[in-house]
Amino acid sequence: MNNTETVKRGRGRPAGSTSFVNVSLTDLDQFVGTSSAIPVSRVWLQKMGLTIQPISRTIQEAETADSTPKVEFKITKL
Amino acid sequence: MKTRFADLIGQEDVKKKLNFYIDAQNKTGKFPFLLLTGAKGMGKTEFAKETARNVLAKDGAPRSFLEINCGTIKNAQVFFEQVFAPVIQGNEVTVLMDECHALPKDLMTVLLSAFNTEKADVKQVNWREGLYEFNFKKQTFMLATTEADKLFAPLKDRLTPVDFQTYTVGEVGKIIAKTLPDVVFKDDVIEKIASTVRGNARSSVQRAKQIELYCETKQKKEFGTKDWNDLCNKIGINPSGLNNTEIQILRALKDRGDCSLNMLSAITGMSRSSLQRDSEIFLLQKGFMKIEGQRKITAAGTKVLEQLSKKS
Repeated sequence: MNNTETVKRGRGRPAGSTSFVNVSLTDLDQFVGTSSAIPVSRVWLQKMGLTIQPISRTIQEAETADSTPKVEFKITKL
Repeated sequence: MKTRFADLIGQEDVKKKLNFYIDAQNKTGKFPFLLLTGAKGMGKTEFAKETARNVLAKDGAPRSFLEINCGTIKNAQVFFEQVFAPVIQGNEVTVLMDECHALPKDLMTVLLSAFNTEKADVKQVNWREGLYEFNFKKQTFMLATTEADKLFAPLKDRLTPVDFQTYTVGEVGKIIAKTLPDVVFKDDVIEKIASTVRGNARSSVQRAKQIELYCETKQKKEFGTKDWNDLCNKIGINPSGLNNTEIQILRALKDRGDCSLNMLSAITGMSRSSLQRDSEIFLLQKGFMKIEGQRKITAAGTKVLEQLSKKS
C-alpha cells in the first residue's frame, strides 16, 4: 500500500455539495452573449427530448471571435 | 470672454447647477458624478458637451469629451477592453455615459464600487485578469438617461441628479430663430410655429430645418403666416403639433365618449405602453385629455378638433 492511496481516501465531493448552480438565461446572456456555446449535461438534454450535434471547438472559437460586440463611442477634442 | 452655455437656450436651473460644479472642478479638482435626466431631445448631450468644454485639463485646455452609448456595452469586460483601457485610463477626459439605464449589471456593480470616492480619488478595480485604475482627478463622469427609474438604485444613490425641463413656447421660438439666423420671421409667426413643437430642443431644430428647406426652395429670406400655412398644408403639420395617432385618440373620445386604455389600444392598433408613452403624456400636457378612471376629452381637446375640421 503506497502513501498516495492513503492520502486520497475520503476525498472527493463532500455530501450535499453540487457541481452546478442555477443561472438565469438573461444573466448568462449578459456575460457570454447569445452565440456562445455553453456546455450542458448530455443526460439533461436527453431528458428534454433534444438531440443536438455537438459544435466543434474550432467553429465555436471562430464564432466567438467574430461575435465580440463593439461598443459605440465617440471622442471629441474640444 | 464668452459666457458659459451662451449658445444654449433655456434650462436655466441646469445651467446654474453645471456652472457651480464646473467652478468647483476647476478650483478644487472635485466634480460629482452627475446623472442628467430628462425626456429625449431635451439637450442632455449638448449640455454635457458644453460642460466638458469648460472642464479644464492640467495644461489649461479643455479635456477631451468621450460619449459612450451604454446600450452597446454587452458586459464589463468589453467596456474595459474596448473603452476604458485605450481611451480613459491615464487620460484627462470627460466621459458621458448615455442611456445609462442600459448598462449591463456587472458594469453597474463595478461603477458602484468605483464611484465610492469617500476615501480616495483613485480607485483600482480588478476585473478578470486585469487591473484598471479610475482617477477622478483626471476623469469626470456624467451619466444620462431618459429612464432614470430603470437605473440600479444603489448606483443612482451615488449620483447627483440634474433634471431637464420641458422648453417653453418662448424658448422653442428662440431656438428656431437662432437655428435660422438668415431668415426674417414676420408677424407673430414664430409663436404659431413654436406652438406646434413638442417642447424639446431637437424637435425645435427639426422644425427649423423644415422652414429652411421651404425658404430655400421658394428662394425666400422672409417667412410669414401665409408661408407657415402653406408649409403646414404641404407637409401635414397639425395644430399644436398633434400627430395622426393623437388625433385618432381625440376623435375616438369625442365620438364614442369615455374610453379605457384597452379600448384606445384596440381603436388605434397601438400597444398600451406605446399609447401611454408616446401619445397620452403629450395629450395630458396639452390639456386635451384627462384621466379620471376612464380617458376623457377636455374642452380644449374638442376645440383643437374643431380647428382641424376647419383646416380640412
